[in-house]
Amino acid sequence: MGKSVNGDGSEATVGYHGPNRAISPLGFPGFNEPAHKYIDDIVKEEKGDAAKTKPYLSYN
Amino acid sequence: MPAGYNGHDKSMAVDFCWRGPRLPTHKADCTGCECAHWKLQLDADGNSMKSTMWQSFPAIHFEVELTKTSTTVSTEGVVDGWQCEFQDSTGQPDNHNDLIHHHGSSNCPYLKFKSKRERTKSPSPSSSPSLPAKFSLLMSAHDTDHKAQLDYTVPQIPCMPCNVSLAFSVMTDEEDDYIALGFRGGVYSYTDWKGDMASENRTSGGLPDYFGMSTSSGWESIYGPQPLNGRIALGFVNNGNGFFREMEATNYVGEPSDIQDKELLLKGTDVERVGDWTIIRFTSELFAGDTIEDLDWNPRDPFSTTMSRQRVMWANQ
Repeated sequence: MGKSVNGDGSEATVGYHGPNRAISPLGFPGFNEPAHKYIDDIVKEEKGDAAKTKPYLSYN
Repeated sequence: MPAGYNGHDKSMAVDFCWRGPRLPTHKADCTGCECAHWKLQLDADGNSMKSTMWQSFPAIHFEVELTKTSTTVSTEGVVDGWQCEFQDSTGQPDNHNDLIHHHGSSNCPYLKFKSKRERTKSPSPSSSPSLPAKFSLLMSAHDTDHKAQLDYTVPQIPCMPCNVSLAFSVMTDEEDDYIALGFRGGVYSYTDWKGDMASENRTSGGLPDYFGMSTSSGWESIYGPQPLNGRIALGFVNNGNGFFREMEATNYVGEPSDIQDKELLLKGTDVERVGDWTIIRFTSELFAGDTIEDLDWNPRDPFSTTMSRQRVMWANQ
């Protein structure tokens, strides 16, 4: 369940950004497209590559 | 091209302002350029131009910088015998004859993509016809730097509501860059006061924050309840620890704030960093649909299903 943050991370500035901000209805033609793989499968592949593996981080 | 224009005007900027009464989605009580404003601004040497549209100010609807890369074409060359007529119209462009050019094909990107989808629609990686139904889409599909992706799994039908599991992932430059996903209600852009919803719209004042950052509660009179509307899921990793924040935007334009004095709706939250991906996961009660077709974000007919109408915003920094 979400909680307020602590540590240095709480300083992350959340605001109104330009270049990487995007909005659309999910079904808008041409804007959203089917993904090639589920993110869970991408994660499995990334974790299978020892050189790229980083510690699993979880927050509940 | 305005009648009589000879291409020799020395002005460096052109402004187009909204005409007529505001749409239900324009900012409350706006008129003219306050509702929608498109500006074309040439730079000093005339070699580049910025095209900006505010709808409604100060929310930027789009902004594009164009640079001249070859010699100037004459006005007559641009027109090339096509005296295009511009007609006032609002609503989804599906049935707009004014978007069909003289040669019978449309240059409207929306219609091109719609036509392509109708020809090639096939199950997305996703669209498993059985339960639990799992879906996956690239958001801003042409942004290959971030590859923002949304996966969602619906466990049952009907799901009105049920607990839907969502995973939102973005490739970021730095581990501590945040990624955020906001739920903005249903699609209603460019819809006029006409039609079945006119009475409800006028009573409620429409959806005056549609193009802003805040999210109106007026959606319930149009599409029914969706408690998740207005909530923002945000996650990031810092010093090896994952952080999750449930937020909302209370101003038309401004910084979002953490949810306070309200029930938190995002459950089982999780933030993970794998390779260059930051991934946030959560479960929430969602009114996703009555049938399995309703769950598909990518139907043949755009916006014909519950999930395809969901407006979702993402950001990272």
